[in-house]
Parts: sequence; structure tokens; C-alpha cells
Amino acid sequence: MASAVTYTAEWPVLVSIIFSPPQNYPLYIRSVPTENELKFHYTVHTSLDVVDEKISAMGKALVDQRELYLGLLYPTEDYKVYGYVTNSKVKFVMVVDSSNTALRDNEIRSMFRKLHNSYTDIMCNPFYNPGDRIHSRAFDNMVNSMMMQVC
Amino acid sequence: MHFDVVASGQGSVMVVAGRGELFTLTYGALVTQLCKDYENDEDVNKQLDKMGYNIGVRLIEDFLARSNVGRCHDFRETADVIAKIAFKMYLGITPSITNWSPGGDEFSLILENNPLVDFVELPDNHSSLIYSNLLCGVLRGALEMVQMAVDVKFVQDTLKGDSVTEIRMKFIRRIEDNLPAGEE
Repeated sequence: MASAVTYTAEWPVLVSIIFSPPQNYPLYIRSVPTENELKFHYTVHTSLDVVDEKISAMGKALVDQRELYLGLLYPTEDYKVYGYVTNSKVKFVMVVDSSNTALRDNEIRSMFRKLHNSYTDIMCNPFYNPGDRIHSRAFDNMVNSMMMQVC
Repeated sequence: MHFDVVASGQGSVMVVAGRGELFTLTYGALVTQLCKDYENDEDVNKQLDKMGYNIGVRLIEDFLARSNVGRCHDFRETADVIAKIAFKMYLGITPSITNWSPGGDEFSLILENNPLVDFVELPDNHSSLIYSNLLCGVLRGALEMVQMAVDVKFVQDTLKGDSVTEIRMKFIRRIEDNLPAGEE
């Protein structure tokens, strides 16, 4: 694989980022490998615009369907970016390597659901103030297990 | 799943089946508010113990009325009643009883899971906070009302990284005077 970054993971390359309204800054970011982190941040920030576009485009249809999963936001030549937004407008973004064909749509959906569930657990921690950056061992473990499943 | 009796009157009773999140979140809100009010963990621990005590001296009446247990003949019976009936009734869990002292005046309650601490992660700046200290006060207050002075404290806590939560209970003495319930 002629790529600047080599890895064998068949799972998400970028950790998933969570943005909180209304400021839309990330509460949690993790990526593997840690090089090229800046590029990831950039990719994710631009994907936010796409998320907002999708939400307004689907608009009423989205609300009617109660669909949280946004699907593939946009493909770049290196990555595919997926989105998920909750009714409380918290956005989750996941970046996957373009060459990764093993990950199917429903697997991505279930990963988002896991993220969403872990996020609600964080919210239930009385010491967590909404809007804080997320520093939780349990959350880290969950993301690790999602990302590091190298075969 | 546990059931709360929410309202009763005119022969009708409304029972709410809940998974206890409201209870857990309420306790969490209480602890964090105390942390904001008192600024240091030791004071919060004391307050939780005090509040627990005030709950315990009242809760014992409800417990005795609903459970119909008779007088305990010794501390071992007391331990059984606490673990198998009281904890089950109010928290839906049954801790195990271990580590009896040779004199039979001290034992441990081991809680595999503690509903008060679901979803809770202690931040680093509250390392000496005894999050569930309310329970110690409750046990102390309740037992005082049945003429037992006990010392109750947490010796292990899953919130602090231990594998189980362990509460150590020590019988101090029998209370002979019949003074009315004190408030702390």
C-alpha cells in the first residue's frame, strides 16, 4: 500500500469526534495512528458542514423517520466520513480508511449506537458537566475496543 | 427492576416500575451539590454521613413495619437481616457477609454492584470523597434506634479502583438509655 501512513487496522482510523451545540467544538477526539492528526481534525471539521447540510436537506423527513444515522457524508480519496446526530443535536463523526471495504453500513450503524450509548452513560455521571471535554476511562476503553480490532 | 409505591389512597395504589435511574441521578446530584457547597471532600463525607443518619433513624420504622422481623439475638442475626432483607428491600441488592472478627463483633458487607454509583466516575480532584457515605449514616442511624451503637465505614470502593465495594461494620456497645432520637 503506497501510503504515507501504513496500518493494518480494518477498523475506524479516526476515533470518533463528538461535537456539542451550539459552539460545535469537539468534546472527544482520538485517532490512530497519531501522526497526521491535524489532517484528521481538518477532515472532521469540514465534515461538520456536511452534517449541517444533510440535516437541513433531510429536514422534515429526518424528523419523521426518527433516523439518527446520517450515512456516508462524503468520500475523499483517502477516507470515508460517516455521521450520526442525536435529537439533542450532538454530532458523532467517524472516519474510515477508503480502502477498507470490510466495514459494512450496518456495522457502522452499530458502532455509532455504541458510541451514543456510551455518551449517555457519560451524561449520567454526576461529575460530568455538559460541554466539558470527555475524560472517561470507560469511554476510552469502549473506543479502544472499537478501533483496535486488528486481525 | 424494582417497584416504588408512589401514591396510595382510597384503596388504589399506583406502583411505578423503574430501573432506578432517577434515584441514582438524584443521589449524584446531591453529592455534586455538596461538593460545590463544601469545597473539600472531608466535609462532604461528614455531611453525607449526617444526612444518612437522619434518614436511618426514620427508615428503621418503615423497615420494622414492613419486614416484620423480630428482635435479633446476636450481631450475626443483625448482619443477616441487614444484608438479606434491608439491602434487598431498599436497594435491590443482596451483599454477602464475610470477614467476621474472632469476637463476632465486626463483619464486612461485600457489594458486587452498588446502584448508587451507576455511571459515576470519580474525577481526580475528589480522590478522598467517599461517594456512598450516606449508606454508612443510614446504617448507623437505623441501628441506633434498635439500641445498637455501631461504627460503619467503607474499606473498599469500586469507584476508587477496587474490585468490590466493602463496608465494615463494628458493634461498639448496646445503648441502654432511652433518650428520644437525636438529630445531627
